[in-house]
Amino acid sequence: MKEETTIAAPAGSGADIEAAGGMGPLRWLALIVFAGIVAVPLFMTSPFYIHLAVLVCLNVTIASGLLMLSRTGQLSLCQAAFVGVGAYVSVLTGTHFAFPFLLSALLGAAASALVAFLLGAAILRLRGVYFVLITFAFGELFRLAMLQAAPITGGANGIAGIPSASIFGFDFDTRKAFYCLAAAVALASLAFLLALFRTAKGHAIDAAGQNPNLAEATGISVRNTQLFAFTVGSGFAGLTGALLASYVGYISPESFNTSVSIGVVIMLVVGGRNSVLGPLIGSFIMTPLPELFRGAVQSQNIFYGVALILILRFLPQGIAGLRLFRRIEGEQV
Amino acid sequence: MAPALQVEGLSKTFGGLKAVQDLTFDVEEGAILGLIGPNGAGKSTAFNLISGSQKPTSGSVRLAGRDITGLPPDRVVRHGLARTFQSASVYSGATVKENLFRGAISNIDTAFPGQLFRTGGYRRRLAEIDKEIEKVLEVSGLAPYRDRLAGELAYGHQKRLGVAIGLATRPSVLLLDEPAAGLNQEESAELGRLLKTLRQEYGLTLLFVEHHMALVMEVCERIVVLVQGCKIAEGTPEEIRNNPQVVEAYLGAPDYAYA
Repeated sequence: MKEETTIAAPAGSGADIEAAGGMGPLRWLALIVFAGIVAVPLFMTSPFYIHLAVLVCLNVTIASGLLMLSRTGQLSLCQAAFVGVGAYVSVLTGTHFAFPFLLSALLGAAASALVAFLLGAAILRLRGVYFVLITFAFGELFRLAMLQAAPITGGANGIAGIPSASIFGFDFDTRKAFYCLAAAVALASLAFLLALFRTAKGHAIDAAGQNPNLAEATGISVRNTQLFAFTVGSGFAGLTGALLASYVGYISPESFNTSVSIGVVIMLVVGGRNSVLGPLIGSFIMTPLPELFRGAVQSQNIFYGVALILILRFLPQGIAGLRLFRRIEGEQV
Repeated sequence: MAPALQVEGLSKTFGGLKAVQDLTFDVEEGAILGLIGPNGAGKSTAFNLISGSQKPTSGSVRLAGRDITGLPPDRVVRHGLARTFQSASVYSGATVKENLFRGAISNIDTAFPGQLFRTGGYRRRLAEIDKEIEKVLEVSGLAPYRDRLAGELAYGHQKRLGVAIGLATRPSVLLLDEPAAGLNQEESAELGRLLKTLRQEYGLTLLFVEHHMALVMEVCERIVVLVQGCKIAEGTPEEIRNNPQVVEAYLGAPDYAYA
């Protein structure tokens, strides 16, 4: 014990509770590699690869939203429904009221956040598996409701011919242009996460997730913290929905079914449920996989199952739990 | 002036079982009161009723005159009554200092956008909390371990950290659930000294539930004895030691006396 006492850090200055380590050479290198990867699609000519890059960006945003909730110790199986709420609201306000894209996209995000807030306020008393089951049911409810509300949503035929996004007169009508938009949103969501987990609110989220009883006993309302994460995270999903609709140009209830929600959960588990890098790594790996396994559609779910079991067994913190990534994140390893 | 903590007619029934019946006692400001009783006497239930983790069937709990009966635990804490847990309850993946910071979070009233954009008020609040945390680290003797992960600390230190986290919430009354459970002779003596220091440094009022008779007799000024949900005696350690009812119900079993 004696040795440790001598190397203890000097008294903190108020900032060190928020510090995430300095910018060592490893972190600079990681940042440069990351910037390179972000820039690569701009120089690609294959529309297919740019398309994949766009999907990765959209998935990063959805998974970032879910990460907040997962760090409060909860899990949602209806993120796709919130993507759907955002998509439908933005498309419908765009076509019926001729709102500009930016406004209808923000309305879509706000609508998702509002729905999540109401749902969360009603069911976040439930802990553990009950909450997960109800979100699963809500996802199905949303899909069925969109199918039934055919006069507004087009039912199973969906809505086609959605115009591409346009912000302040700039049209994101090419794949590359849209990639820039999607990447900007994805980077913004990651930046938000990094900033969030340095605030007191971020610490409260971790406290609620890691030891809910202790958190309650120190004045942190676990329920309110989870409600906050669920609301904000679903807002992320809603914003992504608006982007997705304008990118693909077509939405239908099936675009937002439960397997999409489960896909996001898998990304988070593979990437890392407790790290800001998790959504990034998970989306980067899991988004292209279905495309690579196109020839083996039947067996692809088996691969997922095996991969999930292996990850949970040997890397419970996901790929972000590897030493390299933990050091990049600023942990002393 | 109203006592720091007033418990009046507190009762809790589970179906037909009366776990706590008509429990009434006061704790004066700055006092150390021990709640003792044999296994199954209702100590833990009483503890949970006061700290808000369970709602009483009837009766009231007042903190410095203010009614806090039935409030959820996180609200009770904000009124100034903190609790610790029987087993070492810490955030094991976080450093000691982060643990204390999380304990102090409820004292930050800056709304989230203000935190995100680091307003002046928020930064000042953080600096104040940092000072408070430094003091808690010093007083609790955990300063040398500030950057260690809580899960890596020895059990005795983890329990100490549990108390320190409670302290970081800036309570006026601290409830301790069997603080000496699992500690050896020397560690619990150290804990007794810590509790006395806490009262001196922070003017805290302490209420603790304990099995460890030596610690109770040594630290407490008043003792309340519960048997089968009812208070059978209250008094100074000396009075309790010589109370025939207590001796029969409790101390008569020598196993407990040295548990």
